[in-house]
Amino acid sequence: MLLITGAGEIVSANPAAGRELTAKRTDLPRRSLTDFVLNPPEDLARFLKHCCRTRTAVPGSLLWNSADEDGATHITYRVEGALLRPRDGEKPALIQLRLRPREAANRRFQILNQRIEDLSREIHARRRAEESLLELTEQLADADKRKNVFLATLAHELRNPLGPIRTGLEILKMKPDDVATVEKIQSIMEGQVKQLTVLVNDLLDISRFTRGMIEIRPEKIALNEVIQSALGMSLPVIEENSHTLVQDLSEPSPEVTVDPHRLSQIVSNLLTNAAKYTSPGGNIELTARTEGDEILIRVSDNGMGIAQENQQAIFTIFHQLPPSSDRTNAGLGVGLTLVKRLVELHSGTIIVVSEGENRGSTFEVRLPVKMSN
Amino acid sequence: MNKQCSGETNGTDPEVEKAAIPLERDGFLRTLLRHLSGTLQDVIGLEEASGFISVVGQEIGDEINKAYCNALSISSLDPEQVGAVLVDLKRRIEGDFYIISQDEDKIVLGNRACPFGEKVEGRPALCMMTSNVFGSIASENLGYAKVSLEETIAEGHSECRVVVYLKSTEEAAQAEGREYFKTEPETEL
Repeated sequence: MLLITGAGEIVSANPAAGRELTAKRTDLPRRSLTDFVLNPPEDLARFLKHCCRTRTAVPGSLLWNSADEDGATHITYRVEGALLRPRDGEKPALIQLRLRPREAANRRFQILNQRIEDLSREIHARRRAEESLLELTEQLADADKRKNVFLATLAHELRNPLGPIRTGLEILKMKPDDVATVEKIQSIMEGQVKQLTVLVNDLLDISRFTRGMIEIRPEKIALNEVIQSALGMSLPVIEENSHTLVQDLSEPSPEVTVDPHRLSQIVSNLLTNAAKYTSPGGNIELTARTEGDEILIRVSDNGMGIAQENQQAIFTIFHQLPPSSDRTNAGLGVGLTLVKRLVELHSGTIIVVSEGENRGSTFEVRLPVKMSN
Repeated sequence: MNKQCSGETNGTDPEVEKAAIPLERDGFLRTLLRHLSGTLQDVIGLEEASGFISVVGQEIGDEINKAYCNALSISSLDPEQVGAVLVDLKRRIEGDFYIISQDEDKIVLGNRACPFGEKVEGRPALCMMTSNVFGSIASENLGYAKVSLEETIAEGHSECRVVVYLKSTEEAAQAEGREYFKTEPETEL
C-alpha cells in the first residue's frame, strides 16, 4: 500500500510495499511513481486524475519495474486509488494506492470460478442421481406391477387344473363301477396333473436360474429323439386347438451332443406357445435339422404375431403379451425367459421374427451340434 | 468472398432483410448498455463497479464539457451555464431533465424521461453514470460538486430527482451522494 500525492509522488509505503516493490530496498518515500511504473505517462496521469476527482476507489493497472543487480522484474499490479484528501489550496491531494499482483487478483477469481464450476458439477451430478433414482423407482414400480400380475395369473393357472381334478374325483365317487367313465375321468385328471407338473417345474427352473443352480448335462443323442419327446409334451395342446402341425425333420436323424431334457423343454415350450397364440385351426411348422456345426430349430405359426416393440421384451421374465380375443389366458410370462436362458446355457442363440400383430411368428434357435461339458 | 457485381448475391437474403425485427442502432446500443451494466452489477456488485463507472463517467463528462466550452467559445462555465448544460445534454440524448430550483449552493433537477428508456429499470449502475457526468462537469467548472440521486426512474420512481451540491455545506455533508473535485493541475493532460 502506498500513500501518494495527486502528482504521483510517494509519501509513504507500508512494509509489504517496501519488500515487494523495490528489490534494492531503496526508500520509496520521496520517489515518484514514474521512477517505477512503465505505463505510458499519459495513462498514469489519466489514472491519477481520475483518483483525484472522486472519493470512489478507482481501479487501474500498473506495470511495475523493480529492477536489481540481476536484471529487471516487471510485475503487473491491479491497483485501486482512493482519494483520502482532496487538494486544498497548496496542499496536494492524497491518494491511498492499494496494489495487488494481477496473478493474485486473478487467482481469487479463479478460485471463485473453480468453486462455481465445482458447485455446478455437483448440482448436475445430483440432478443425474435424482433422475437415475426416479428411473429406478419407475422400473421397480413396473417390476412390482408385473410381479403382482404374475402372482394373480399364477394363482389362476394353478387353480385351473384343480377344478377338473376335483370334479373328476366327485364323478369317480359317484360312479366307481362305470369303467368307461372312470377311464375317461382318469385320462382328464392325468392331463391336468401333467399340466400342473409342467407349470410347477417351470417355476422351479426359473427359481434355480436366478440362483445359478441349473446344470446342463450334455450327452450324445439323435436329434429326432429329442424332438419326439418335445412333441409328446406339446401335441395335446396342439390337437386341442385343432392346429395343423407340419414337421420338417432330417432323415436319418443327425447325432448331436446336447442336454436332451433341456432341448426337449426348449422345443416343447416353443410349440406350446405357438399353439396357445394361434387361433384354433391354425398352422404350425416345426423344422429341426443340422446345418454345418449348428443345430437349427425353427417353429413358425400363423397366429397373433408379435408387434415390433415387444419382440425383445417377450424374453423378459413376467412379461406377458396381451391375450388375443379368443384367448383369455395370457400365460405366466416365464416360458420364453426359460427358453432363452436354456439356449444361452447351450451357447446358442434365439431370435424371433414377426411382421406384426396377426401376422404370425417364427422362433429360430441355433445351438452347437456338439456342446462341450 | 462476396461478389460485388449488381444482381448477384452479397450474402443477403431478401426475406431476411424484410423480416419485421425491432433492431436498430439506438435500441441496440441502449440494450447493449443495459446488459453491460447489468453484468457489472450482478458479477462485480454495484459498489465494486462504481469505480469502473466513475472512470467512464469522468471521461464522458470531460468530453461533453469540452464540447460545450468550445461551442460557446468559453474556457469554463458559470453556475447558470452548468445548469443549462446539464439539462441540454440530457435533452439531446432524449432525456427530459428540467431545473426545479437553483441557487449558489445547489442545483435541483427533475427528470421526466430517461435517455435509456425502459432499459434503465433495475439498472442503478446507469444512474451512477449520470452522477459521474453531472459531477465531473459541475466540479470541473465550479471546483466542487456532490451529486445526490434522491429519486430515480431506475428504482421505480415516476421521475428522477437529482441534487447537485455546488459547495461543501452542512446540507451537502448530510446528503447521501458522491463528491467530485476539479482536476489537479499536475494531472492535466
